[in-house]
Amino acid sequence: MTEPDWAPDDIDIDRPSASRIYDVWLGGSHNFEVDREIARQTELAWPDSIRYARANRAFLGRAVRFLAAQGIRQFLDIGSGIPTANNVHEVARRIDPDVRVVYVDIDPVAVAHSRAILRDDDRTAVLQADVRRPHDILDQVRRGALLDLDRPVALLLVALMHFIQDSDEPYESVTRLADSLPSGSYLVLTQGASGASPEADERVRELYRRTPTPLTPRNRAEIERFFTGFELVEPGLVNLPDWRPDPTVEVDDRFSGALIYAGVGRKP
Amino acid sequence: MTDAADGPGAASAGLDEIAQYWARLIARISYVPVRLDDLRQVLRGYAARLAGAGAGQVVARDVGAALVADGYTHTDAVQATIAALADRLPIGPAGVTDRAALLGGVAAGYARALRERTQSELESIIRAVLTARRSAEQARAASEARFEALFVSSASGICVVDLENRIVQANPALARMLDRPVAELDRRRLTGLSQPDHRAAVERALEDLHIRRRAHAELDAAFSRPDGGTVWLRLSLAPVRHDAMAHLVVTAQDDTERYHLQSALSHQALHDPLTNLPNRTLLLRRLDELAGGRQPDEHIGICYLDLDGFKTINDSFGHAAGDDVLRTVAGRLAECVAEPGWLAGRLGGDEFVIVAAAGTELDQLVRVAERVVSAVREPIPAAGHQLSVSVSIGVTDDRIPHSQPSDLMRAADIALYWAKAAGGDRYEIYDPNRHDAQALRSTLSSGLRSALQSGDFALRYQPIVRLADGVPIGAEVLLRWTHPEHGPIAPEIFIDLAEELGLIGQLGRWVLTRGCREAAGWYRELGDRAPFISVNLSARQLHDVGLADELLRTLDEVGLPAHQLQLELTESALLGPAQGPADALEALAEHGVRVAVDDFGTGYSNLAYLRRLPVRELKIAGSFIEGLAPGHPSTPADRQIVASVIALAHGLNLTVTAEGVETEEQAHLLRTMGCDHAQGWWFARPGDPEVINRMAGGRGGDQAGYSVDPVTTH
Repeated sequence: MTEPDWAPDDIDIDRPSASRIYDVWLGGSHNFEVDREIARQTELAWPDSIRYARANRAFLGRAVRFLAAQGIRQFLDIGSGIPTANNVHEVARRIDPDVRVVYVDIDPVAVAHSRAILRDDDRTAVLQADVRRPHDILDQVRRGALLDLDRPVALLLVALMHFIQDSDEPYESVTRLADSLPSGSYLVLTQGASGASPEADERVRELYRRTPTPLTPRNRAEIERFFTGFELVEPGLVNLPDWRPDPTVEVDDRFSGALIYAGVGRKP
Repeated sequence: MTDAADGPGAASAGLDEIAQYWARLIARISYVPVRLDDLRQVLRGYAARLAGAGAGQVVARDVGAALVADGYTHTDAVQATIAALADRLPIGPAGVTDRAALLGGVAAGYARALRERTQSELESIIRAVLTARRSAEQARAASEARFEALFVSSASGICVVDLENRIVQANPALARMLDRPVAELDRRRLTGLSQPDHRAAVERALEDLHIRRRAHAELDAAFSRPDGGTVWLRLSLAPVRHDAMAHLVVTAQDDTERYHLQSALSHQALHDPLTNLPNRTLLLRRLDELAGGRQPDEHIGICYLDLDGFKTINDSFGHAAGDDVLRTVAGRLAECVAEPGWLAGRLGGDEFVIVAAAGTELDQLVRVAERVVSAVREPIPAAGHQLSVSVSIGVTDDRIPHSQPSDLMRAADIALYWAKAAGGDRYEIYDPNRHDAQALRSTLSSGLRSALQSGDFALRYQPIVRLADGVPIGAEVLLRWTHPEHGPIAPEIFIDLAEELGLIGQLGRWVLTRGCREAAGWYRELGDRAPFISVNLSARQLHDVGLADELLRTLDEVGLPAHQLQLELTESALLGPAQGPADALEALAEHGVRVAVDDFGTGYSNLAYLRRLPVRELKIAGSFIEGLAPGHPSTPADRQIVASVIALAHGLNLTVTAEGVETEEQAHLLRTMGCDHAQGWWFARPGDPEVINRMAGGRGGDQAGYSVDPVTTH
């Protein structure tokens, strides 16, 4: 386990956290009243919030199954949040038990919780790191030696980049991470573009300004830019539920009005 | 437990139907994606257990708990379950438990499991918070330990100051720099620790950061140590923002050595290495400052100093002695100029300048000039001798508005020139109404060269009489220059000019040749009754290598016996350690040339040369004779001096000539004291050579017949 190098942020549970709000929508109890309050307020502005959370989770499952089927055995999941059911390693191991997963999150509580749950699993690791400091992530990954960066890796940035402001150079971060991965690696990325209405969007953004990670929606072209250097696999960049839907699976994830883009790209 | 799927066909078909319906309801509210077929299988199993033979409260609660364990934690899940089972669930063969009771058991089992799950998740997240907090605290403690080590062991001085610039925390390095214990720095104002001259600058820099005008600042400032010492710190300031508190962190490097080096360098650049006085650069800078900052009615005062006859000292005693003299004069000058705001420095060579403080009155300036003149007069030990040195000073306090420092220097230089022309050892005050001596000096410089050819130079002869009977026995030759425009020029001026222009050797030879030729005429006419000719010889002439040969050749050419020539040398000229002049004098004396010491008693108290050199005569300076007048304040002392000199001379078989005899009383007194010879206005003023002829021819000491040769000075 690696501690942050210098004075860490305070652990402030009076402040809502994006990963715990997400946990509320996924039926978890790993959350506090401040988190549930933001979740409720967000649902008032956009009643399909909970369906979006399910859609995102369902997409993650489909994408991981797809990647495992492509032969990917290493996953780097940045912004992994609070572990709930169907985590990346659980989904992937149904295909190959030897899959290795490194979870990364900036939230020290999410990291501590993940570590508690994965304590006895030597093929997973949990890092506390910030996607805005990609060199630090790569350093920690290399030091941990769980992933072999000379072999293809799936880089998962699911529901993460809309928490990174433009001034924090999100494209540079993604490029640096992608540059260190070999050919045959994949990038999985989802990000919100717009909600039910401009008013609802503004309300949700306002709510998230209370968290340490305010929202920065991006349009399709901006989101596509993250895939620079990758070839998007079919069906390209689409609304979350439309990415390779599984007709055999029942999930109520048809949110209305909003555009949340999802895509998977392969590094040639 | 019996699997319900093994039951009768109708019941089995019923369970399938129930599972199908139940799964559809549950899937809609599932948080997790689920395959309907899988879900249907699972739920069919639960339905079979509830319909089975062992069904009861235990089984019902198990099923409720299983739903929670499978992840169907949405509160609607229990509603969906009851909705799916309430009308359809077959009652088992035992029939002991009715449907409502079973469903109640499922609901109770579900609720309990959900509560436990919720509590457990909440516990786990709280544990995670505590773990994260502990990790953060450990990291913070590690970070603080690192910071503490950095803070304590840093070679840089570091302190944190609050909004009032009070030191909240200081490290040992800073304490060492300021030479105070760390505890003593606590709560002290940083500004208060800095030296008064630097407080404003430190305060300003801190203020700039407090009000966020700047994000970083650097400055140099001097701080006082308790022992009175000064430490120069290079400060670097940066804000530390934590919550609402606005502190500044100040790091300090001890820059004292570099500062001292720098000030030593700038001292070197602004001071004269020989005397350690301010040099020309600093003097001129000071003048510029005064000129730039003065009030309309304020004036700047300066004194321009130049040692009299300094070249002679260098020529006679060497440059080491000259340097000793300069150092001593510099020291006395510094003592005389103790007034705050005044500056005394060396301009170069033997020239010094005193710059008065702004607003100094002329009489103050004059008092300082007087002090300096008399201080320099004190004998100066140099090269094993007690040298007698004097200084001329030009004083000016310029009231001309808008005048530049260069104008001021020129004015002082002109006044200095007047002091020189008046004989030196004095000061003169610049008077713009006196005509422009500087212009005169340059006119004279150009005129001097041609004067030798054009015959503007002339010789005058002052008889030297034997006191016993008034018979002229010799004549001192005096050089006069009458400028076509400016009239008679003082010897002090044109001798200096001739030295500057390198004409002094030529002029000296001219005087010697012309004088000897004149004396040869007297000798031809009067034979042994003819007066000898007495010629002043400068130190520089004495050091000319070919002096003896050239002189003897001249004597031969003009037909003057060597004993008819007397050379007058000042004590300073005679005193040099060099052997050359002594040999030359020895050679000349062997041929019969007389050697006289001029101005005896005004120069050096070392009398050893009298033993070493072929001196025949001592001439007592007129200043002593002046004191012989009755009622003169210095009469007793001068009388004693004159008597002593006479006794000394006679004891050494030397003759004595008194110069500057102006009254009958003086002549009488000298005669009674046994003085051999005398010259002066009482006997005769310097005149044409014919006067000597007539006098020596027997007409006695009636001065009325002699032409008067007034000397005016510029």
